[in-house]
Formats: sequence, C-alpha cells, structure tokens
Amino acid sequence: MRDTELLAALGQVLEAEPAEPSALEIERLHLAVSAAAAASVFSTAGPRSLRSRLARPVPVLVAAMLTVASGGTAAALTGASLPAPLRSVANAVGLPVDDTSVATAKSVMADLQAALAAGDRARIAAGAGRLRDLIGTMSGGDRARIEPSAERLLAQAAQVLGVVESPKRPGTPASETPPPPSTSAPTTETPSTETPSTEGPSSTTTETRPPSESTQPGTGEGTTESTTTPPASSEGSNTGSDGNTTSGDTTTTTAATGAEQPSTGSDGAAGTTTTTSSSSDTSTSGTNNAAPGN
Amino acid sequence: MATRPDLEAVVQRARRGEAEAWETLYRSLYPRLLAYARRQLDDDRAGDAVSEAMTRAVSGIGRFEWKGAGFEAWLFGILRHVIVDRHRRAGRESRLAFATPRPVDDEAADRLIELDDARALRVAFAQLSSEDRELLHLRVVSGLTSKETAAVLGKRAGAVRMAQARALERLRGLLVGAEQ
Repeated sequence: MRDTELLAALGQVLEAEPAEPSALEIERLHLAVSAAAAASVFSTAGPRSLRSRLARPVPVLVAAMLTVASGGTAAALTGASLPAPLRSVANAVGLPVDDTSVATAKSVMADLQAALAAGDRARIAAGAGRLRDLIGTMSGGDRARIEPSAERLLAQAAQVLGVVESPKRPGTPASETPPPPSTSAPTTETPSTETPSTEGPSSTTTETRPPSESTQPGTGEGTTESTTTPPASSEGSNTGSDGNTTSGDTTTTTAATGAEQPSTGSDGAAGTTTTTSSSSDTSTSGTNNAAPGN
Repeated sequence: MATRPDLEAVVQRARRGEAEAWETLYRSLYPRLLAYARRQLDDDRAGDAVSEAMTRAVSGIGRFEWKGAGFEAWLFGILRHVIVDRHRRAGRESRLAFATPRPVDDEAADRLIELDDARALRVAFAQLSSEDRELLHLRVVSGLTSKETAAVLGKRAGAVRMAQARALERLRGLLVGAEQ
C-alpha cells in the first residue's frame, strides 16, 4: 500500500463527524466579535496597509521626527521656506522655525520692502493691505514678533501712497475700526454693534449702551445675553457637553449605552479577559507557529 | 471545505469585523476543529476549547497574515495552544497526549473499506506514538497541507514530510504485523 493510499484509507477511517456549534457557542463568538469591534481590533482599511504601518509606530515616528528635524533645521539655517504643514509640525515640536502666519507675514513684508524699493505703488498698496490683513488675524505673540518692522514698512508705504494713516494700526486689533472713523456720532454706535462681538469687551457695550438702552431698560440683560447669543448658537455643541435639557438627556443616554457596551464587552471579555490575556500569547504563538512554515 | 479564494474572501470580511463572516468560518471549520480537540480532551472540554480558540482568533485577527500557512493552520495553531493550556491548568504534562481513536460508529467508513481492514487500520493507528497520531490527524482529518501542518506543530514543512513518511512506514509495519 502506497503512502497516498494509506493516507486516503486513514482519512476514511478517521473522518471527522459532522458537527455544528451550539447556539451558546455562536453567541459567545458574536460577543467576542462585538468586544473586538469595541476594542478596534478590526481593520477598516485594506488588507494590512494601515495596520501594518501602525503596527510599527516607533520607526514611523522616528522617521517623521527626523524628517521634520532635518527639514526644520535646514530651513532655519538656510532661511528656505518650508511647506506649511511641515512648518506647523516643526513649530509644534519646538524647532526654531517660524509659525506659518509669521512666516507668511515675513514673506509679505519682504515683498512690500521690494515694492517700496522699486517705488511700485500698486504693489505697495497691495502689499500693505495684505500685511494689515495678516496682522489683524495674528495672535498677540506672533504679532509682537513682527510688529516693529511691520509698522515701519506700513508707515513707509503710507508715505509713498500719500495716505494719512496712524502708524499704531498694526498693533491695534481693530483693523476694521479705522474705516468707520468718518463721523464722531457713529463711534458711539460702532462699539455697541461691532466691538463687543469680536473681542467681547462687554464693559464697552454696557457703557455705550445706556443711551440706546433707555428704550429697552429691562432688556439690558437681554442685550448682554444677545452678546452671548453667538456662542449660544454654537451652544448646540455646548449643550451636549453642559448636559442641558434634552441634549443632556441624549448625552446621558449615549453615555449609558457607551457604558453598557464596555460592560457587555467586559462580560464578553470576562470570558474573554482570560481569553484575551492569553490570546496575545496564543495568537503570537499562532503567528510564530506560522513562521516556521514559511 | 472552502476553497482558498472563498476562504480568503470570508477571512477578509472577518478581518473587517463582520460577525456573519466569523460565523461562517466557525461553522465551516467546526467539525474538523472539534475532531482535533476531541483527540486530546473529553467531549465537553473539546467543544469549549474550540469555542475559546475562535474567541482568541477574533481578538488576535489583527496579527494574522496571509503569508506562509493560511488561516486554517493559524486557527489550528491557536486551538493547539488552547489545548496545551488546558492540560497545563489541569496539572497534566504539558506535552500533548494524542488520544487513541475512539470507537466511533464508522459504518460509512467500514462500508468503504472492508470491515476488517478498517478495524485493523484503527488499531494500528492507535498503536502509533502520540506525535505520529497528531501529525497524521492534522494531515488526514484536519485536511491541512504539510506546510500548514508544519505551521501548527512549529516545525519545518520538510521535517513534517519526513515525519509523515516515517509515521506511515510505522503504520504499515503495524498493519503487516497485525496480519501475520
């Protein structure tokens, strides 16, 4: 009898009996799948593309750090420009690289300087306008870094363009305030309508309001609230976190469901806890098992 | 037994967390997994070991790769470790004692092979060493290739082929001895 024949005969003699997993076993499997899903075990992307990359976070992180560090250092040394995302990362990591907004402002300032040197009025006007806009959007710290030279350049630009402009402008946050200074009467109105909404200096609002508030005395609080209404419109998102009324309930419900799932998971995991803990051994060893076969 | 492309497709779905795919895998592999476990554990514990192996497979699917041996070998490997764990917990020796085949109602088999031959084959198989029986079971009953069997046993495919040839030689010797 040949090997193949012997194997076939053995196969007939020892053949596995038909069997079905019990309902309980199937349920246990489903619980395990749910628990694994809750633990983000399953891959959502392709076969192993993302997972395989995430499986080695340290080398990837080191490579990213090296890239940022070398790119950032090179940029810092040579003054070359960095792509905005890389610049943000480098800046966040603490490398001596300008923040994106500062870098942009510096580049606009360089253009403006060149335009001033060339006496190109159109470019000067455009550059000055852009610089003003940029400064208006910058944070205090960033603004302070470029303020002295920006002020000087804007003053030069104003001179060339023959515009009478106060040199303090770049420093003041009210980049939009200058256009209205046409009359003195609206100035009382302007702060009540514009200023409070931007920076929220409610003191200015309440101080300026009284004249107009005389018509709506009881609305004083209402008005103050109306100042806070914009946030209230975004309250939709806040409400949930604040746990107010309906959305608060929703949040609680979600939290409850969220709590339930883990508990279900932990139930499953209770069976699974031991399982899972040992699973790492096993599946590793399972993989190890597979390794020698390669 | 599902063909490899079918199995691969189901496994891909299982990797994405589709419970239905896991159930399909479980149902299709259950008889062979159970038969393997029954050779080493009593009926109740065998079913439980298979169930635990599946649970471990679910939580460890992220580490499974389609290289080398396939999914079945990976799953049998897990089951083998579950069984070893059970033996350890029970304070028995860690090495698997692959049981002798139980007297099952193999009427169908007996019809295919002549009754005496079937009995003689079963008796001869029972006289093999535990290692030989496990290897032949994985190859014949579990339906694994030598590469997959090697993965389950933690050996090289070549070593498995050699061991199989030797096991069959011994089985043949036992059969001849029984005839005489």
